[in-house]
Formats: sequence, C-alpha cells, structure tokens
Amino acid sequence: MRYWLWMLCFLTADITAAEHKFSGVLDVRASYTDGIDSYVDGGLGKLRYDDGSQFSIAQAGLTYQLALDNGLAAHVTANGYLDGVRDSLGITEAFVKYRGLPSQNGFRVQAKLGLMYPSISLENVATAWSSPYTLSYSTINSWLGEEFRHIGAEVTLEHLGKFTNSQHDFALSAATFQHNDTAGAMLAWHGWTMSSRQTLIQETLPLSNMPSLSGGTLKDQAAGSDPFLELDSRFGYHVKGSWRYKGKGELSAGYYDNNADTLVFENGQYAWRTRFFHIDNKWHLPYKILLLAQYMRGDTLMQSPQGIDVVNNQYQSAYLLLSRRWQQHRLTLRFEKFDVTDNDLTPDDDNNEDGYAMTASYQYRLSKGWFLQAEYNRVDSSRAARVEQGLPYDLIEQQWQLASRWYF
Amino acid sequence: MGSKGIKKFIPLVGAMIAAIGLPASATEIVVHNADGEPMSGMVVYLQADATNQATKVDTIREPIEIHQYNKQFTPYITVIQKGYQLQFINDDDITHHIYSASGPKRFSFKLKKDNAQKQMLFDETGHISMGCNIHDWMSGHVLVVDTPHFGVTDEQGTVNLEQVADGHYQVVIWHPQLLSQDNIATSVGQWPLSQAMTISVAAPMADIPTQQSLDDFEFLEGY
Repeated sequence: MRYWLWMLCFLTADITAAEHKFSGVLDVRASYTDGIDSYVDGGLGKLRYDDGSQFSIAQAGLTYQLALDNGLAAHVTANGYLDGVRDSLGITEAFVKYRGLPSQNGFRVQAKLGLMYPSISLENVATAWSSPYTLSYSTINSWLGEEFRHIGAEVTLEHLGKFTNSQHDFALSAATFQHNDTAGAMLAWHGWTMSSRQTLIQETLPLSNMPSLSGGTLKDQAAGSDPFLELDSRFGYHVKGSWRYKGKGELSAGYYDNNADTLVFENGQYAWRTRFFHIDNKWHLPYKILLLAQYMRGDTLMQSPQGIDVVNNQYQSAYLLLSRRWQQHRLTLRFEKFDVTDNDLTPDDDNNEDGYAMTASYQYRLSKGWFLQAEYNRVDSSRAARVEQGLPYDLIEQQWQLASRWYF
Repeated sequence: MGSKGIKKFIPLVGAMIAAIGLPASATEIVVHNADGEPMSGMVVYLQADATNQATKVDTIREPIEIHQYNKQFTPYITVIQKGYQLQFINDDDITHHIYSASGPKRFSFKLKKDNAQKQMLFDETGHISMGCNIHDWMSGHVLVVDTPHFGVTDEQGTVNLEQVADGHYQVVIWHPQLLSQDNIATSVGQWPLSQAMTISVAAPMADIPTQQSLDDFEFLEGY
C-alpha cells in the first residue's frame, strides 16, 4: 500500500499548467420494491432496496480531475448514498492516468495507476461509474461494483487505424494489482444481484444470517466481508484485448485472476482465488439500435487454512442490452441469465443458484444534463440458501423506479 | 516538393485537360473523378516552373483559422502558404488536446474551453495530419504550400484561382484520402487559361472519416 501511495505522489508532483475539472451526478429516486430484504443490508434480496416503497438519493457522485499538459491526469471519484438501506459516503476511485501522444505510425501508450475498476463494464461509462442506459446495472456489472476495485497499474498499447487510413483500432492492456483478495465471497453468499450501488473504499459488506456462520463451517468468518483487502501480498492480473471498428462498434475479451493464496486467513477474512474470463460486445445495429452484450464465466475458491475446500463455485452471467434514442427519448431493454454452481462438499453452505433477469427503462432528457427515467426490473431466481433462512427457494423480485438524474 | 518530383506523377494519375467553351482568360479549375463526377473538398494549387518565377501576389486573407467546433476540426482541410500563421480556436465548452503526429511540423497543445486560441507559424511545406488526443474521432489536415495560388474545390468541384501571372504551371490536386502516392494528382497548364480547365483524377478516394462519436451521451468519463 505504501509503495502505491509513493508512486501516486511521485506522478502528481509536477502540477504546472494544470487544469481542474469537477463533474458529477445527482440521482434522486422514488421506488417501489416487491421483494425481500436487500443484500445491501445483510439480506438475500437481489435488488438494492428492501421490500416496500422508498425515496432516496440513489447516487450523489462527484469526480475531480486534475489534468496536466503532459498527458498526466489525476481522477478522484466519491459517491454518496442516502437510501435508508445503508447510508454512506466515500471514495470509489482514485488514480493517476497517463495518455501518450500517438506515434507517427499510430501507436499510443496509456497507463493507469491507483485505486480503480478493472476495465470490463460496457454499461458503466458515465460520470462516477453510472450508466447512461439504465438505473440498475446488469448482474455482471453489479458484481463488479460491489466486489471489484484494486490498487494497481494498468498499461494499454493501442493502434489507431486512422494513421494508416484504416477503420480498425486495436488495443491490448495488462494490469497487475493487489487489494482484491476477498472478491468472490459476496457472489458465493448472496449470489448475483441487480443493483446501482458501488462499494465505497471504507465499507464492509454485511453477510446474510447464514446458519453456518454461527457455529457451523463458517464460524471463523467475520460478519462482514472486507472487499478491498490485501491478505497474501501476491499480485493478481487482468489482460484484455480489444478491436474497434470505426462507426460500428467494438469487441473485447479478457481474463482476470486475483491470484489469491487460499491458505491465508486473517481476522475473519479468507483469501478467495477468483478467476474469470469475459467477452464484451458493443455494436451499432441498423435502425440506430445500440447493442451491448457481455458474458462472464469463472470460478472462485475459498479454503480452510488446512487447505480443505470450503467454497468452490463456478459461475456465469450474460446480458444482452438494446437501446435506441429518439431525440430526447431513450428506450433500453436488457435480458440476463445467470447461475452459480456449488462444487464443494460443505454441507451447510449451498451456493447453487439459477436465474433470469429483465429490465425495461425509459429515459427522457429535459435539458443538457437533466434526465428523467422510469425503470422496471425483474429478477426470477432459484436459490437453495434462501430456504435455510425461511425464504422461498423460487422467488420473483420486482422493482419500479422513477428517477431524476442531473449530470454536470 | 521540387517540380522534378511532381513530373514523375503525371503519367501515374493520368490527368487530362478538357476544353469547355468559356470566354478567354478563365480562372476556374474543375476537378472530376474517373466517373466524371465533381470532386469537392480537393486542394488545388499551382506550382510555378523554374523558368517561371512565382509572382509576388498576396491573395491570402489573414488570419487563417481552424476551429474546434462540435468536436470536429472545422474546416477538415486547411491550406496555407509557407511562412504564414494559423490560428486555432476552440469553440466548444470542453478542452481539446490538439496534436500532429506526422509531417514537417510536430506539435501538441491543449486548448481550453470557450474560445481558447493558439497561433502557430508554418514555415515548411508539407502535409500535417492532426488529431485530438481526448476525442480520437476528430481529425484535421493542414497542407503548407509554397505558392500563393491555391484553393479548395466547392460542391461543383470548382476552384477559382485569380491573379495568376502568365506562364507554365504544374497543377497539383491533393486530398488526404486520395489513394495515390503522396495523395496527389498532377497536371500542367499554360496561363492565362483561355477556358476553364477540367482535370480528371483517375486515383480513387478512400472514405473520408466522419468526425463524430457514435456515443451520444455527453457525460462520459473515458472509462
């Protein structure tokens, strides 16, 4: 940690000719949820609000950027939530970015250093990691928002086709990082969710009232998972390749491995070895329809300090999103399929899950930065672990949201 | 570029001169493609022969401006005579990071929002391809020529070159997307022109890149 901080200070020392910029998003929502207690507050509900009606500040996000003339820029993003489920305020990202100038033959180097997301989401591209398309993110990106952030370095080498009169750009990126050793715990213990929360850097995520925590197999696990911990001093990595076709879209694929040492256990926190690959496609279809599709598949392993598998899960999720804008109107539909397969023999910790999700969202642009949005979310899932807590095995959760989002 | 260099491209592009019945002392040059369709946005300039020193006429109206407007280089192509200044003006409400990655003049500077300006002297001939390192879809071109006689063709493929002294000239047609060596096609002409000169360019054109992002949401943060 000290090493990364030192590097950050070194890179931001030269603040001559700096340009400052603040940007932000304020998302105020009225919502009605037909479901069970939210995973955000230690329930097994897949949505971010508890059952019933809510009025909330769903996101107050602020980004400060300091850009130097030499291509270096510093970004700090804070997010706040006042939603009656877990009210909090804190940092979500803080990194230094370098973007070199393209060379004569079109190669460009970019680098990022600090606290950041692995670059995977196609949805969360707007201010403070919000999505321009829907209020609730897909299950894949909800998981990234909850358990993925790391402190590390990412280097990207791009080739810009326009230097050679080509329509094709290519990029290859590699990242190495620490502070993501417990990633996988929440996916195992509450399954996939459809949310619009991002875990703040200081937050601990409460686990549900699992019987195995009190005297069972998981009796040594703390009541909450600390998602951005470094337990084993090992480095994880993420590699990704992308192809952009000018005017059409982009296709990318990557592999993530946090490389955690599963024999490490400290203060109630296990190191989880979490690996997955992802395929991402953004394409501009005919009739001005935008398609986003992502698929993720991987596994996660948590062992006792003696090396016995406690949690050994495989998981996958895919979504297909279609969005179309007519002047100030935008309509977005998203369909998802997800599952978790429990491959371990732990009797009191069944993580099997299977489900579908669907989202329909309508956005109306009132002015340059002011949007009204109405959205319906539906998650239809089967999960054995719910039965242990007196909840139904099969469950349909629904949510209606009406939001005013102001971007500046 | 020397006239010797230009001469070798003459057979390559198969330029031809056609006669159209117009009054004496015409000023127009019309550029057509191989299918006879007018080519707009093409740079046309005259290069005097060694025996025919360029006349000292000043047809340039300063300042010559390149605007960054609506996240586009406007105009897409700018022609300037060697030794003159260009003015870059940012009309957008965001910062641009203008750079040139090739050609005789390399530069990189940021232009802050709302009419930030920068003036720059171009004292060497050649083609400078520009981009914005924040908005990759932006592209613009500067051609620096060593002659006061230049212009860009209009929708009808026509350019008017006035005050051209009598003599023999190379007529050079240039466009960054013209698929020929050095992106040029050349012809020759004897001034004064008795009628408009029509030049047919045999080389095909690549697609002109649209300077537009397909992402229409304005609050993206470059994730």
